[in-house]
Amino acid sequence: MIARERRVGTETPKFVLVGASLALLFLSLPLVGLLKRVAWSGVFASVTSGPASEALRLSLITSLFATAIALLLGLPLAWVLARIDFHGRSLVRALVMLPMVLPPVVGGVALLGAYGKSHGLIGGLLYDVFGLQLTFSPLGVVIAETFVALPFLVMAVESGLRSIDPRFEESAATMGSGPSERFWKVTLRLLAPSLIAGVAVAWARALGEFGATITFAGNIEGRTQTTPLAVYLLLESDPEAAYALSFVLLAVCVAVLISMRGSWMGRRS
Amino acid sequence: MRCGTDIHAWKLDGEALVSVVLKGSVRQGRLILDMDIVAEDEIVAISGVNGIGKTTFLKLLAGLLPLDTGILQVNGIVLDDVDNQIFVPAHLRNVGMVFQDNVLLPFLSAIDNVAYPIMATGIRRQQARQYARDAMGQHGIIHLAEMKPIQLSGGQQQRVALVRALINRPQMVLLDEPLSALDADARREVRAWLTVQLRSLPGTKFVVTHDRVDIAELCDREIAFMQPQTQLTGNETQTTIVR
Repeated sequence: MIARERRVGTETPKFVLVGASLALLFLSLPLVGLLKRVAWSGVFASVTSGPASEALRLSLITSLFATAIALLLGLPLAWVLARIDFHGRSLVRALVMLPMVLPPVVGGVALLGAYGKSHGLIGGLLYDVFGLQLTFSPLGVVIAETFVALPFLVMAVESGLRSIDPRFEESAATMGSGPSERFWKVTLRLLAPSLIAGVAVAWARALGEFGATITFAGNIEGRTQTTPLAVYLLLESDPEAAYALSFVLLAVCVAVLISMRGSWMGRRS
Repeated sequence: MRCGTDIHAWKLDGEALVSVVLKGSVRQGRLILDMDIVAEDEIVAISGVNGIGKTTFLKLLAGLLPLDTGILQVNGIVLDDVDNQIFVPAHLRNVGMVFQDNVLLPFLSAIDNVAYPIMATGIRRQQARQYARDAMGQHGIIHLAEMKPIQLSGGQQQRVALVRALINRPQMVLLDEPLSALDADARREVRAWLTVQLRSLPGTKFVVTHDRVDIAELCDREIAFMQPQTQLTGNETQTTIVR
């Protein structure tokens, strides 16, 4: 399985191979365990009925909205970070990346601090003026998912923008294309692989969101109970449905990884 | 200025002398470029060691970079005037530019690359492709029309890029080491072809090159970019001081 080492000096020591094998085993064992517990004959029935189907439907809708908002807001932000020189850019970038490392529950608490109806910074205003209540509403789910997904999109698109050879856009300019034509016909086209990767990973992150959602939007069946929340609760009452739902999420994530092949991962193999 | 949808811009009309006047300076990082250049309807070689600012000079002319001081005038029209706050950006100047190694848009076929600048003038895709097809036929590269850049050799890519740069009959042609990425055979062939193309076109043509053969066969005169001490080269007295 492992090719004979051809270069002396950088050959692999035995203990590294042992460590690598253990790591691989550690990562794959739970997946095997999950797949083994799935009651294959009942998967379809489990996820198309009752709270499971409600949760899947809600997850699908909210995560798509969250991804769309992340794209609409993230692309301009990535552009600014990649192409405009300004003081404090690294500070802004650190701020943007914060939700990636922040415990999601803390993110949820922070969202309450901003948009909470009674104590939030602007939550009260939103409620009084527009009658808009974000907490414990599907809209709140979208907000929580966008909050955690946005940084992933920004990161992918920013690195994509940086890797574009500026001469493509420069030569488009000398060929008579104005700034907006260049954006649509050249930049966006060259950016497509990174954009797809960014959208895919942001969507996967939004779909799997748990901590910020339950903290900010709560766990109301049919309203704010997304699939990950349903999985957690069903594990007690209906394990078969919980495993079926888990399998669906796993399948989606595998599909996302495959769609990202060649843009983020496996470019050099 | 760019001619918009004016198709005449595309036809041969044997214009009179076109001149470039550039007096000014620009700073890029540690590089300061001081220029005092007048050029006519001719092919001018730009030479000098790496990092001395030859590409920066082409970018100034193309409108990809504004001057810090001074004025640029082409064919009697002011394109850049720092004191009067005039700057005409690249897409509004009718220039034809080719970079050192090819920058054909990778997602377009050769013919769509050639059609791109025509479409940018407002001509519809169908008709632009027809013009592009005609031009590629005239230049003997019609067989490359439907190929993607990645399927073309270096010499073929460079030819497509040159046809693309010349398609709108630019009033100024800027070539940044157009032959240096080619191997010896392709280089000889493309050079001969390019000489004919450039001769048939009115306006000033600037060619950045290190190659003595390029300078001798392709160009009418040479402007050498040099370090502070003033130097004269070529058979005319143009001085460019780079410090």
